Amino acid sequence: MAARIRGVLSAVGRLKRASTAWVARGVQTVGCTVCFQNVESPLLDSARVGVLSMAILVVIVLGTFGAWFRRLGQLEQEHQATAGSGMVQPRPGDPPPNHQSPRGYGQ
Amino acid sequence: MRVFSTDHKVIGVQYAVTAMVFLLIGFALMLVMRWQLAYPFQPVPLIGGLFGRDNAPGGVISPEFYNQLGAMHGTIMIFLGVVPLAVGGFGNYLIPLQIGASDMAFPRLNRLSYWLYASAGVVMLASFFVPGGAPDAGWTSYPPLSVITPVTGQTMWLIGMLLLATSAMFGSVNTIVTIIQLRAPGLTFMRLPFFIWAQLVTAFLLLLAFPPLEAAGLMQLMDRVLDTSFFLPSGLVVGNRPLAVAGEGNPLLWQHLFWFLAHPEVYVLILPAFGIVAEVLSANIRKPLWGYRLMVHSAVFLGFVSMLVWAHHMFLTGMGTTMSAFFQTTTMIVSIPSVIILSALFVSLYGGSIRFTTPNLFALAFLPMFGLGGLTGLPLGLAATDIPLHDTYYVIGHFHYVVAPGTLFALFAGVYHWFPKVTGRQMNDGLGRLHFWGSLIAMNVIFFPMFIQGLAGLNRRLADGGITYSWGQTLQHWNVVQGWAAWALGVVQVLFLVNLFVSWRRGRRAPDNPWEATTLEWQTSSPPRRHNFATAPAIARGPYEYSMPGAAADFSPQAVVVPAVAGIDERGTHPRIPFIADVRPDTRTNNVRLGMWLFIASEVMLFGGLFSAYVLLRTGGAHWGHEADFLSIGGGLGYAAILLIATLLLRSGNRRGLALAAVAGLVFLGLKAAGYTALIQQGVVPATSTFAALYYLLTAVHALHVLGGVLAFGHFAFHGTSATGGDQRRFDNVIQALRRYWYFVDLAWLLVFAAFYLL
Repeated sequence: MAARIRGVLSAVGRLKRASTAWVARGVQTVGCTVCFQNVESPLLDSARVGVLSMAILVVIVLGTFGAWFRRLGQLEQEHQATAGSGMVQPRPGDPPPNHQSPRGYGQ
Repeated sequence: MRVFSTDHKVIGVQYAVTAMVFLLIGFALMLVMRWQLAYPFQPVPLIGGLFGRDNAPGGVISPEFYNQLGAMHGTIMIFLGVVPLAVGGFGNYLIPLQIGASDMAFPRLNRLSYWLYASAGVVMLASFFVPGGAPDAGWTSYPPLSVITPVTGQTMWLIGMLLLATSAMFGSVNTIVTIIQLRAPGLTFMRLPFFIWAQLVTAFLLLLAFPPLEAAGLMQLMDRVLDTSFFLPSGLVVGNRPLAVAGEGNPLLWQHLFWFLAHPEVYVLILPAFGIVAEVLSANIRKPLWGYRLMVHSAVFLGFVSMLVWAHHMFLTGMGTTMSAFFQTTTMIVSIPSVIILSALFVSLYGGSIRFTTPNLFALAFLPMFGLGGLTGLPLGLAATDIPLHDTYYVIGHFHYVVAPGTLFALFAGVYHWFPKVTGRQMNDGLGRLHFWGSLIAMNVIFFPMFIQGLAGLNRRLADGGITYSWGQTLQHWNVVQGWAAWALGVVQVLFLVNLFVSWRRGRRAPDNPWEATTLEWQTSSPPRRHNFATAPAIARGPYEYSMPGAAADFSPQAVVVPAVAGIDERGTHPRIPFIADVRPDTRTNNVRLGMWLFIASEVMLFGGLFSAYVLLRTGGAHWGHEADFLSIGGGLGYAAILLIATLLLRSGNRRGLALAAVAGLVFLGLKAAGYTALIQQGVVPATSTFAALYYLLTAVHALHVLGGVLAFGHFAFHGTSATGGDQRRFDNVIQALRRYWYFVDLAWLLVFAAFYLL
């Protein structure tokens, strides 16, 4: 236990020395207006507008795909109705397919 | 096995093996990081000297190198490991087999996707060996740090991401077209295995979410290479000196576009995992999945809503209560379908005749492990609790539970489950069980204490594990425990690798359907023959018909084999893909047309990301648009006129029209180059201002699209119908698709024209 504590303290010492040397070098100290939570900053206002613009685009694109999915479902139903679904029936003696349950498969 | 094969099974195995190699590398980086956290600034035993004197003087890992290890661990595990294994590996191998197709819809595009992905991985890994080393700005690459960091690896990271985005776009177009168009007769949407649904939704997420990150990647690349300042605000001070850039940029722009991909990426990870677990569980509990339709609808809903939650990663930016409230709400909503799917899988267990096989052990463990990962994510979706927990080890614990004992357990389940199908041999069950129990215990010992550390306030990304701080010192013993658990986890993974390779060579021979499962892949040989099925499968029932009353066996396979051999070409090197020339009757479209629409959708999102940047930077810019004086409205209209002429020429649909359209495109590009030269001579370069940078970026991306059109027109004008195997209908389909593409190019120019010349 004592050895571990000594090890930790030694590591802390090394880290302190390394940190001092690093800061003294005077590099990579960054000051950024956004990082200081300036909620009135025009940068934040513009970020909100940017997020909003993307959200509007996404809703339009997703809406289009949603409508297309719906159309695909309708087309499949129409095809089944007109072409007898193209489905192969189970062989004699096989159980009926479960999916034909009116409440849907597996429920 | 040919290296440059177009066979989906070969490509699937290539994806899986490559991704597992990357996972191993990412895992190894983590093992080194855990040493640094457990024993800060003590020499790494045995291998410390391998990292070089700059990275690890005397074998001691430097803080800078620790940052590189952290950034690359996250990048490799997510972008090069888990997602390619789940989507590229399992998806490529299983999708055509489970839908009864002979291959993917676009086999050559599939091959291209893989090689782009592999190239991206090589570029990213090579960054360890260039001056300055690998990227050190975290896997999220947040600016300003990622822009001002001098390491070359960051630039390589960006190039790798662009390659990955392109690979993902091609792959997802292929996946969607394959699933929609190449389903066997009778395989209706509600008869698709849940795995296929999961892959379909995942492909849509990749298709639509990656392009905005591609846009952001291009911008960051320009910031680093061309000294633009998309992400650097005015007045930024670095090293106590104001940064010499034009400014007017916004670091939040990166967060906005990065998380637009990276949050849906979580569902890109988890949806295939759900799909795999659904397949493995149903085969091992011998009963149908409970709530199949509910699960399908939940997966689709999850896909939709997951694209509307990204800004919850930006609560800490001070974005305001209104916007926070919106994204908190969508974040809570997106958890509902996840819970429904997980609950349905749990409920499915009730009344089942459970077989505790190795794959099923992993699948069963996935359920509570993912549950823990998901539930601990809820506090992070609420601004009030996210703010104190942000950037602490709590976050690390949360997403590692989702990805490691969550998604990775599902992937392990999948490997054990489908290994007999891929190789025709069984993996060793005893080693598999050791692998499972070892992984389960070790992962929990690693990740659970992270919640304790995080709740105690320990920050992530500290190269010393937090011992600089007093509260960090009281938690240091957990780092030691986690370190030893991580190394034990490494030993356990050796068992898995030994099992994998030895079984591949010498494993017990497996029958075609060793698990007595119902889905289509089990109704062909192991490994599957070329083009998958000897006879065309016709689907008679749903995917999970186990223990049906009256059935002779406790499983009823989906397909009834019919003698017709339609679509199967045993002698040819390429499979016959249906619906390239014809329209599929129940979707009323052909493969090329659908593929082009999907490609255009992804390009809409790419331009959407760029225009979102335009809106964001313009709104926040105090000195916007002085350089617009150098742009002539007449010139912009001239460009539009050339594009419209090309559009009219394309309407003829013959080779001459194509050739002339290509010439028109070349004229456009020539004039564009002249326009750039004139602007540069007037002193307007990308680094001049954000307006100039955006102008060059948007018009260059548009010009690249024009170039793509020119190349395609030239190719088909030169080769004619021989480019489509002599099939005139296929040729007509391609021309029609190219025409649609060009409409998009026209529209994009009109928007660019309005944004830069008029507004």
